[in-house]
Amino acid sequence: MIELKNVSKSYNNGKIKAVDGLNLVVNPGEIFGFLGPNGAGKTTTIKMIVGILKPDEGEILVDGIDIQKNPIEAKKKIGYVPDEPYIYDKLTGLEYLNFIADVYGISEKERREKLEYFLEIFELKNAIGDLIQSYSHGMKQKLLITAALLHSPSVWILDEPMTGLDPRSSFLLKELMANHTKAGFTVFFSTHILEVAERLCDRIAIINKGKIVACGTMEEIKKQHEWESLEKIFLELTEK
Amino acid sequence: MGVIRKNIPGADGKMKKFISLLKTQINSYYGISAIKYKYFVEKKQRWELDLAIFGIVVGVAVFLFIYVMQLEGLFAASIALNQPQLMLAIVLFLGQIVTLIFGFFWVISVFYFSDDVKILLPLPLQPYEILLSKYTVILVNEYAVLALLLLPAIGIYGIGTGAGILYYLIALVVFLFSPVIPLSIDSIIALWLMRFTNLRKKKDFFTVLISILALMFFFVFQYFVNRNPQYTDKDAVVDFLIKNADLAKMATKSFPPSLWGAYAMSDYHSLYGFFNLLLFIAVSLIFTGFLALSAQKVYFKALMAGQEIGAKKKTVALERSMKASGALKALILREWKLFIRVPVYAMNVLPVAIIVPFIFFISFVGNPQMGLEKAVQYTSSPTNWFWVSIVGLLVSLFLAGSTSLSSTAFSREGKMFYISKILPISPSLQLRAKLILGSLVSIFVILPSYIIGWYIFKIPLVTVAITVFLSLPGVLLINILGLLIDSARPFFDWDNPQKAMKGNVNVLFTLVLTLLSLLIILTIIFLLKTFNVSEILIAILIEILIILADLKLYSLTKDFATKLYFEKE
Ligand SMILES: Nc1ncnc2c1ncn2[C@@H]1O[C@H](COP(=O)(O)OP(=O)(O)O)[C@@H](O)[C@H]1O
Ligand SMILES: [Mg+2]
Repeated sequence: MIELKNVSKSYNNGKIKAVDGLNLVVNPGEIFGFLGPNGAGKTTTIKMIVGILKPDEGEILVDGIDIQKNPIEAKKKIGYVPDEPYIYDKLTGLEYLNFIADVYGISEKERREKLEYFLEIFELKNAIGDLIQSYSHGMKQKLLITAALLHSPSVWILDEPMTGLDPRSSFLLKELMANHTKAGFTVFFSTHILEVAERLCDRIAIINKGKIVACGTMEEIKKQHEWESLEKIFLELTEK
Repeated sequence: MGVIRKNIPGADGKMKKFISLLKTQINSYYGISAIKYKYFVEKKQRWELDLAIFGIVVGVAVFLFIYVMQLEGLFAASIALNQPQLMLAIVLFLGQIVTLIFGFFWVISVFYFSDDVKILLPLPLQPYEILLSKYTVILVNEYAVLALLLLPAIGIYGIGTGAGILYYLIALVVFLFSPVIPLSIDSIIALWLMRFTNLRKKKDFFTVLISILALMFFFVFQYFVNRNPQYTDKDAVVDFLIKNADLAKMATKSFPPSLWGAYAMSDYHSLYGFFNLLLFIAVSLIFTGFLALSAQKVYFKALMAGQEIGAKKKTVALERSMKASGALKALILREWKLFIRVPVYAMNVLPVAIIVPFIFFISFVGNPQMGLEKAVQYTSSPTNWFWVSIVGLLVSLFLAGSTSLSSTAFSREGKMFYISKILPISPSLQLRAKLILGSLVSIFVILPSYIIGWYIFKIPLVTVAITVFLSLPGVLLINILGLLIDSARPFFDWDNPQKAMKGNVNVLFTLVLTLLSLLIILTIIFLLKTFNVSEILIAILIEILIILADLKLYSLTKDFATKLYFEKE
């Protein structure tokens, strides 16, 4: 579960207001899509939820834990896949995963089971002993997804996860996301690909210029907008 | 794989394009826009810039002072030999050799390993245009280094012989062309090497090789310098040079362009000099032409070959490689691997561990006259424990400061710093991991000097123990200072690891602070000495003082680190 209460963030000493008084509740067991055009404030919001950025104002709770007051506990609940796969070039994939497992305190047995599974489905088994600098963009992304799921986070947050994945991997990812919610876990991801959101999400929010302009199930949103297509609604709401 | 690129017609447009390419290259290499933005648009911390400039000016001034003194000796010797151009030839030779040796690694890294290569490759540019623009960037860098080496010599010669304005004009031309031949040779070799060997695969090996070559050069140089017992003495330099005149001539002859350049300057008023000048320029241009040709032929091919990185592609037995360990150990190991596997970083540390003892070795053992016996007499006596261990402490602090591991500990994480921020690990634990690793590496770098002290200087074990006792908190202090600076103002925005260390002002700040701490410690010692405080008491006071400073500064660093991990972007 994620709760944002009146969250704001600006850059360059207030000159760029990236996120403006955001209120949002993402429920347990829900896949939540965070939609918006480029520069709308999606990445900024996500960075604040995972604790990379500090909000100027407002409160963020992850599973009821305040990310600012109790960051370590909150971070244990989160698995984060960034929009760009920046990752240590000079470690091997396996070294990276082991490092992550160590800092999250995952037992040897558990990490072995998880790795067997993920490396198998992502077809990373042959590459895992190589330095990450030899990985393709997509392989790095798959490694980051694996790393994010090692500790079975109750809140899984992904920033534009489909870009850079081949159709097969992106299909797999969607399945992983759907499976993740079965245990009552939350999946929150940003995207600007409307079809993905429409097919996958229990609820969506559309953000424009740092403000939420629509939020609810697909039904609810369409109802409010005279049953137009999501694409039309999106274009209308995010005009300029 | 043939890449077809259309020529854009019109020489005029071509030149314009090249100049704009060059501008962006220089801009991105030095981060000029970023500096302008940071200091002039955001008006952030102008004092940083001022302090950095101040530090550089002081360093340069000290270097110049020593160097000019040496040059004057060399000039006197050349006059005594009745071959005034010898000094110019030697200095030019030195400058060109330095360019040749150090330029090579530079060339490789700028040609092949800078990130913008990926962006430039698909643009409608000729290979030679891209390469020459990169080459020019290095050339500009070389001018900065060569200005320090050559301009004083040109000045001393000019004033010493009362040369006219024409001399200075010709000297300027020689100066401008002096790095062209060695750098072109480097570039051509690099181009063809990269074409046929996948250097990126062997990059690490290669860096080590170059560094060893550079070290060997350094040692040999040291050896020749030290062969003469009183080098600073002017008469001795004359003596030395007269004895070694053949050697000097031989050396400069092995690279004739230095001689041409020297004759162009020394015989500036004669046709002979003019002929040498023409030769110097012509050969430089020929080499540049060869470079452009080679670039056109192989640069892109080499670049693309370099894009494949060695991947073993073999299955790893998961069971055996999945050992769990504690968070602290995991953090230290990550820190260590990310450090030691980047040659630019590793090479910043390892040579220090070798060079410093080697200098001891060369200066004392290689020279019986240098007074090793006297020194040993002093250091081996247990009653001299105080000054011996104080010198030991100062050397340790200086060596600890020279690794710049802690002063770049946060900066080196660069764009990957977000990973550290999302980990459920407290900032203080992450900081501790950095401090432990930094201190361990410092100790590793210091250790050889201790062994030399014990083995060659016969320092008694008790004195060594006291030195260790004083140095351990001192080593922590230097590392904490580095971490303090780097956590207060980390530099994350780099695209090339070289910039995280070599282009990081925090290294300079930490060096200044290290020297300042040395100064404070010495001042305190001298003050206590003048009040006749006993040596044992002074040692204990110094120990306590350093430990207190450790504690205070560490807690300050923790505050900065906490801010960094939880607040800043
Ligand atoms: N580090 C930064 N410094 C300054 N402005 C930024 C920074 N990051 C993002 N912005 C600005 O904040 C706004 C929101 O950006 P972002 O959250 O990345 O949007 P999205 O992910 O929806 O494309 C944009 O106007 C962007 O230019
Ligand atoms: Mg984004």
